[in-house]
Amino acid sequence: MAAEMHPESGDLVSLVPAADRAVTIRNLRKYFPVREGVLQRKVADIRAVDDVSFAIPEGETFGLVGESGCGKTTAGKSILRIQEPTAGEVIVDGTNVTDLSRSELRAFRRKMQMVFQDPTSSLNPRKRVRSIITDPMEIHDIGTEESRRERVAELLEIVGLPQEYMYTYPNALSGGQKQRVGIARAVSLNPDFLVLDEPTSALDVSVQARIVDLFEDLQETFDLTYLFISHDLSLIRNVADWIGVMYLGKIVEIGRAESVFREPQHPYTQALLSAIATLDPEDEAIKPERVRAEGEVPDPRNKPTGCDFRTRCPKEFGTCSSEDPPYYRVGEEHFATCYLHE
Amino acid sequence: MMGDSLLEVSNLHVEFATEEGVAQVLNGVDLSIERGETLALVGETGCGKSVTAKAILGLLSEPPARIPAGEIRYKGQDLLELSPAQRHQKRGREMSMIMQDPMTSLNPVLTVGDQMMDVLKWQGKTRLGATEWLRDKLSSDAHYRDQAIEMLAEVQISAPDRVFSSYPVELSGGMRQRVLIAIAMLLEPEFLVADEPGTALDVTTEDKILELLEDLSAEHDTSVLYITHDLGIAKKVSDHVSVMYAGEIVESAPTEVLFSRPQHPYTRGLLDSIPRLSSAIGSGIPGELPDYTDPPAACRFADRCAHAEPTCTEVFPYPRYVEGEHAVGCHLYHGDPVHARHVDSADSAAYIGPAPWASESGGNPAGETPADGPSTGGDQ
Repeated sequence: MAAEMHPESGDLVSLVPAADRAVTIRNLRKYFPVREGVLQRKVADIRAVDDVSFAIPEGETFGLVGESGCGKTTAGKSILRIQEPTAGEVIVDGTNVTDLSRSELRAFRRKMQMVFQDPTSSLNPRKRVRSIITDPMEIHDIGTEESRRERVAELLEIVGLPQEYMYTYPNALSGGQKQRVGIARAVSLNPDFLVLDEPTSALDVSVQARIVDLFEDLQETFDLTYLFISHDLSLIRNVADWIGVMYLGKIVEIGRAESVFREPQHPYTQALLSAIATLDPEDEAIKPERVRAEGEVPDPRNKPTGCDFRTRCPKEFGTCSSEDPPYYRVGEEHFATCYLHE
Repeated sequence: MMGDSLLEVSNLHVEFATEEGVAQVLNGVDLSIERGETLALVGETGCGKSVTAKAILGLLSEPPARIPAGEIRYKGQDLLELSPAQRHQKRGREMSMIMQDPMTSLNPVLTVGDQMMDVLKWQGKTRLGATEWLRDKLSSDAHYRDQAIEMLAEVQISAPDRVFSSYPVELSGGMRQRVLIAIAMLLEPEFLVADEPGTALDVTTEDKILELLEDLSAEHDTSVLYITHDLGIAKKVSDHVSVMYAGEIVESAPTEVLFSRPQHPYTRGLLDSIPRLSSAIGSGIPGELPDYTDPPAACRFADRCAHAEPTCTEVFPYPRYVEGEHAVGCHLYHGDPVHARHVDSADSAAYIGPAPWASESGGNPAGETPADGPSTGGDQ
């Protein structure tokens, strides 16, 4: 295929036609300063999220996948402005989130919520399930005492918990049940967009399968748009319509989930996929030929010149160290940032 | 039973005193590991797999733990009859353990080298006499140092000298896990417990750690008890698999057999729940683990099982051979009891089979949805 070059990451949003975009993220950056010395002068930046762009169509799921430290959680938090992004633009339902003032943002949070990784530490242990779920409604001044109570009953039913759990404390619940409470809290304000940050990685697989089921039901019922963050490629394969593979703060490969999994084009994606422990021959057949990522992830303060992955890449060649590789079109709805596709 | 077993756990019971009463966590666990073999003990959070490992190594705090019954035979000798000092002698030298979390398992204020030399110098010594202390102070550490650095090189650390004098914080997770493996292998143990050594790591790193562990155990002919919640990893590393649910071994078989013909409804539910590349994720297993202080009388899985019949809550589903070495603890199957202690209580009237998936003889059920399979048999 004749490679057409995409010089700018911001163009990646064009994978989704403008009219269909529920969420648009353009050139998002989050830098953390490194300070040293007595005066705590800034000596460098850790570029945790480094020019990330993608769009999610309404009612679909974008899977952001990568290993620990790649910046996927920071990206999720910057998108919701739980952490202020350094630069970039986030548009949710036509509203530019990055432009909102503090009070506007607070009001807009109804539209976008997050489900956290660790269900134990993300629920206040001193509050009963009922008030954990009604808190967001109280903060946004929605409904009366009575209507809120009804809403809690309704939400518990939606997430598949018995009504009597309303009055228990989180510590009496199992991990899966706690995560259901976290989900009930996240959907209590009828949001349009949910960031799911490794929502099942603390759970056993038999529980994970049920929670994933619940997410699918909720998406269908309420037409939710998801950003699903995970390190587990097999899981992402099951939940996502679109996928972005992150490495050292950048999206190195992006596209339709089908296409990325069937024909991974970036050596890093290939390494990730080929490292999966599979159970049956069908899975084994889908995996790309073994690609090894050599060594370890470099210090983000000290990224290599050129391609970030080249120090670990088995296919490195001359051009790789020259400058950042641009995004190349490697499929109909599929881009990868790797000089092999020049 | 006889064969070349290095470790033979039989009918092991462990209970814990809790505020809510006595928790009967292990309920008659049987395991057998042959020399040079890797046995994967697979189960989900709270099923008792780590308790089993700790009981074998003698690391349970008693109280609150108590071992009311069972045997742990290591080279024919029942470890439960040994004194704490005698068991201490065995730990490290003959049997060793790799912990799950490389971040917290190393002492942050000592260098890697110090921690390795401690093992070499003091392992098995319960009390330190004045003369020994003096001798240590006067003697040279050089040969210990060489031995430690050699081991670091063996776990494929590229700059062993530098790592030897590093503190744990200076190392990445994968590096720390390599150090832990090096420490565990220092005294060339014959038996190694690996408690989810890859879980805290990324897939690409985990993959390499698993390979390293496999190479090392093959090279040193080490028997490994590999504890994991991940069936994919169990498949990769083990010769035999035992699946644990609520303190009991519900299914046990050579790895290849278990994955090509899983039989216990719990094993099948678990396999079905795993996200795959080629097919859609299953529906999981409904319900929760039973309360260990008040466990179900017969089958501990019955209330979560789609195929349970009233008999499942009345008659204990003792493990039975369904094919060769493949043992299943479920009334959906006929078969001779695996353990002599169940021969008298074996009751063929409890049979509720055949299993709905029995007709798929030899087929690979992994891609299907066994939990919702055709209800030709056990479904109510």
